[in-house]
Amino acid sequence: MAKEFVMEWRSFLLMVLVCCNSALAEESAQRFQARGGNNGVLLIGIDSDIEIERIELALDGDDQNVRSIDIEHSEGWLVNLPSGHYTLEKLYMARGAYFDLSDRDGLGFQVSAGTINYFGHIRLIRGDVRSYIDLVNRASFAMEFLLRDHRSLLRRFAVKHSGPFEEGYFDHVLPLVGGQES
Amino acid sequence: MKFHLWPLFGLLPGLAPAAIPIDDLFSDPEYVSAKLSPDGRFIAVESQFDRFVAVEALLAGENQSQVLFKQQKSSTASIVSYHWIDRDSVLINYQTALGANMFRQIDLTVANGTLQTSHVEQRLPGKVHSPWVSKQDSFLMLYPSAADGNFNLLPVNLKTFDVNAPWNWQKLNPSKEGGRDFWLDSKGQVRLKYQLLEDQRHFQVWRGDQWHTFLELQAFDQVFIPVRWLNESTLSVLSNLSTDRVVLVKFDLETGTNTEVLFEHPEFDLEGATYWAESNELLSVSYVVNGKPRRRYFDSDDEVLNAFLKRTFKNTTPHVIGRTASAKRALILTADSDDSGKFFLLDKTRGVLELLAPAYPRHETYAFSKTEVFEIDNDKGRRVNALMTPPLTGDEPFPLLVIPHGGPIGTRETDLFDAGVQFYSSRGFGVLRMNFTGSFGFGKTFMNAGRGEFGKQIEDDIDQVVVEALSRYPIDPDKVCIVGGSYGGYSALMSVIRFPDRYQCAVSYFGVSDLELLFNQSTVRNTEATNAALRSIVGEDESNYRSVSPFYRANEVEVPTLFLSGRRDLIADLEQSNRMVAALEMMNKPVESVIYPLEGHGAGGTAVLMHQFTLIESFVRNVLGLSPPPFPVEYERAADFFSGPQATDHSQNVAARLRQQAAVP
Repeated sequence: MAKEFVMEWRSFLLMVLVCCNSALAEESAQRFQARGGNNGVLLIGIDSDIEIERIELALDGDDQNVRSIDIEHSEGWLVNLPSGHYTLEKLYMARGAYFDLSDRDGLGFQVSAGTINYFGHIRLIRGDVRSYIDLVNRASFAMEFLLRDHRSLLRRFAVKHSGPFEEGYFDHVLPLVGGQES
Repeated sequence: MKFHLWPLFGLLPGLAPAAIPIDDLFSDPEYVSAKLSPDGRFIAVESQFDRFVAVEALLAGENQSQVLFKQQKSSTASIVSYHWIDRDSVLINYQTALGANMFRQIDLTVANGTLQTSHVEQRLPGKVHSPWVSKQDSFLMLYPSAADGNFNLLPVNLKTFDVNAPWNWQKLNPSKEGGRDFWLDSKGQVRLKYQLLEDQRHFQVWRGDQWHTFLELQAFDQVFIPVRWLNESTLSVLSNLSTDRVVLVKFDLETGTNTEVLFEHPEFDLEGATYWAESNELLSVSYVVNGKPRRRYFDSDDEVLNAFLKRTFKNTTPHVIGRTASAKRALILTADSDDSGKFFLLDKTRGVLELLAPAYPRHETYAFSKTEVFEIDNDKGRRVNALMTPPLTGDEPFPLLVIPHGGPIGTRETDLFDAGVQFYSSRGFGVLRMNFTGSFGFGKTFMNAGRGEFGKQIEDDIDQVVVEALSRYPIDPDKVCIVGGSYGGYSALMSVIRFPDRYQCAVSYFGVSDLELLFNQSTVRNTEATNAALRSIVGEDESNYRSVSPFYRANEVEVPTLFLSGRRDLIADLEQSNRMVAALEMMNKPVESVIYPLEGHGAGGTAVLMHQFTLIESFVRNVLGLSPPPFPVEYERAADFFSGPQATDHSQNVAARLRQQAAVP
């Protein structure tokens, strides 16, 4: 039992463990910047008892435009996306098992061009009878991730909440860390 | 079999004050919830063995007990409740390790002076409402009626009840409508129920051939607790609907109004009332005076009994927790800030008072510190009471821990035994707690005056109490820290911001640091209804939130801080403490943080609870430069704790500090 929980705790730390190589981080920053144009950066985190392999996003107004993001092979939790309004639709676990979240409220977010858009952390707590899933605001963990692994991105792009959470964390902290204010 | 008459060494005074090992202090109680049978012949008690939990019975007046029921300890198995349903039958509702809800009736007989038992058992998906006093071997069960959380009220005799024949069940509540709770009138008819309709509390009376709502409660602070049917249309009720404090009133169901106040306390909310079984005569009322539960009796025999108990137990508070109708036998529990509880049997026939057992036998060889209560009038003229627990060991002037309670609205501190308070006291700290504006038990006005006072009146009250304590006790003013959980954690941070010269450190566990974030934590938790309820407590003026949020004032924190948080906390999310820790780190301020990956809003078990207390004590001892800990092994064990599944990034620095402190000779 204890061993299992250690594994689960590591999955919580995934956001800060991936992209720990600074050269890679710099390359990422340049690539994000080069893509520029109409693209923005989605910043998303996971705090899960169960390993999530993939998430599925739908671009509003375009039923055909479903984005599937491979968590295991993504560039940390930074995802380059065309600007627009998206909705988190599904979470995929191992062996094709998934949670369908399409009927949930509050899982939409806006990707703005030239901006790091923090959506939130997907939290999944495994229970005895059923699992608990919600989106939580862990903005400080997202900021720690950017500071540790993507400081160059932070200098070049503004960071803001893009999902359901409206509060002043980034505006307050960015001047303290020398980041771009939105 | 271990529940028996104890030698009276527990009553002997003169134990030397000494630091108490944390394992002994935080041990589980061995005996809880003792109950006298209706005729006083038996006493039942829940007891803890090394590997089992059990219900035992003692033959009153004889040193003979028997285990009635035992169950292996596990995380899922539990004794839900137990009851005397007649003079010789105990009903136990328990859950098996696999989650089955079971009812077992155990009949007791005495043959040739020996206690003997037999039992019958059934698996049923309900819970006990009450014994059914008019029928032997029977009880009333709340049986789930639908997925809406409502119940039907069924009379059950386990010897004859056929769980497979629901068409034969005779539910007592009229009509098909269930309820959350029911009250029977003097004829045994269910005529009153309570249920939730669209999140409002509805009280309904059966009249004609249907249920009529006579009262709809919307506000959180409205109290309406039916106690007794007095006649066809009148109830005795504990209520504050038309008064500031909770009082005992006659309530007229026809008009939906209070018609007479039967009893009120001039200062405190009433919390209980009992009547004689066979008449409408009031037996007693209970309330809490300055944190200490009190009961007032209205019968002369009980007054005499109460006076006798007060004379006998001069250093603790006796509570009558069971008595026979004739009052020939009574079960007494003593409990106080320095008494973790002892069960006694008073037998008037034999003229003896016997110690049955201490609730915590491992506490019996230690002395504890008695809490002293004092009051202040705050700057608004409201009376605020404070509970000061002086250190049990150490020198004067002594270091002080100020511990504001959580909530903050509708909760309170009590003057009962508190292992955490005694932990600090036995290690040389004074402990100061208080019932600041917003606390429960002092009337609606006092409680509601705390709304919207985050970082303002509440912290003013705390500071005024601290100033008063500094003038009353030999406290070292340079060794004062503030420690709190949940709202208390928020209060600890706001207090060091608002009163920077008062404190040398602060500890926030499972606390709040950003009021805006309370409304923006989770897509599931932050519903419109939840946020509206939150606003009614935090304050409606959102523009004010940042000025009273420690996170936005982190630059004003000038003392070392410790944060403890739980990854699974659904109340004060992990983000609350992490953003404060990150902000303090950005400003190069001294801060320690421990995230418990498996915990929610507080400690889920004794091991984690002990770890948290050890961490807090070690942190304070370190910041204040106090002498080495009395039990270094506890610090080493707390450091080892981080090597297991509770390891976090932040905790390794804390583990190193603990080992360093443990190594100091």
